[in-house]
Amino acid sequence: MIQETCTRLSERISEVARGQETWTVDEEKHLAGCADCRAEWELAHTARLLAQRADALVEPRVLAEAVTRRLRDATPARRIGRRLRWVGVAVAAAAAMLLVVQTVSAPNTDPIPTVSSDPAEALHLPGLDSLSVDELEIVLASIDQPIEAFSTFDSSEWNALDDHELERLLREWEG
Amino acid sequence: MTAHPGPDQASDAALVEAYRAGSQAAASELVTRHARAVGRFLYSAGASQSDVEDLAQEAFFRAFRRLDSWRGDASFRSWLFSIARNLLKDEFRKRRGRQVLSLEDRDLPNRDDPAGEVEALEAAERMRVGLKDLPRLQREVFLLRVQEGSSYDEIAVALDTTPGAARVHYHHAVKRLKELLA
Repeated sequence: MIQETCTRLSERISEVARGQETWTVDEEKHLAGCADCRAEWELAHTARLLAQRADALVEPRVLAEAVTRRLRDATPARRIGRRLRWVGVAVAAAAAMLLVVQTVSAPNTDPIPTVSSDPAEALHLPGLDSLSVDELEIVLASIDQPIEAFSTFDSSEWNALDDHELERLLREWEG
Repeated sequence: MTAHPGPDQASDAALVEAYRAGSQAAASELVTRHARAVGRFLYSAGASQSDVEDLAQEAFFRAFRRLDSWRGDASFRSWLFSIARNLLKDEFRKRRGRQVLSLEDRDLPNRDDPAGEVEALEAAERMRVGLKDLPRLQREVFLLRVQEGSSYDEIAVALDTTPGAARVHYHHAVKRLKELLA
């Protein structure tokens, strides 16, 4: 009989400790006289105390926001976009440096050009005028290679690729 | 233990499918649903207070990045626990010799009964130490049973064991913890 009561209490300890049920008068009497059940009850109570302290450490909505933000930032398309931006910056910087070097080594005696309102004319780079055909080829080769590689791929097609395909594409670009 | 979705609530499996189809809101709902349970699991198994949130965030992040490895045969929550458990193991390994389970960052004692409160906090910390040293199944059965209110049937499914074995693990855990806290 006592053993049966111990088993019954043990089955209900979690619910009572979590405040979902309460002890009956008989169960309370049994608890008062049974050291084993009392020790188990104290364990459950202590475990609940741990749970309450843990609950105060995690704010579900804040955590959800942080996790979804990380997931968004970690999608392959985003990573590719970020890396492409850096490749673009590097290519532009290299081209600009080359132009500066060429301009300095072959000073232009032409009058300073005025800024045109025509976009096509505004893109005219006087530094290139002093380069030979071979030097221009080198500049073009250094600029065209990566740009060609990227421009032949329509970025809108990324949406049609799954994560594995995007990862593979990224690996190919990175060599 | 597992999420108990109400009639108007999507199941974990449905939310996982929605996330796979591109729904960030589904991911958010899954995190919100299981955040506290993962936090309790980490803290009770020995994570320091200051690490719980970061570890929980990392556990969810890894879970979503490896969703393909969740087959749906175990509950989503127990699968999260397994990721959290591995993270915690790595954390302990990194901090070997520096893992401190002390009262250094405990809450202030209750002013109505400071002695009783300190005693309870000390017992809680001893329990954390004890739980950390229990065999994995004993620890997880005990936590699922006592903190999450899981039935032995639910625990059996979650931990890939039988209800009878879960009951035995629970009683072994209780016996060892009683000795520790006596």
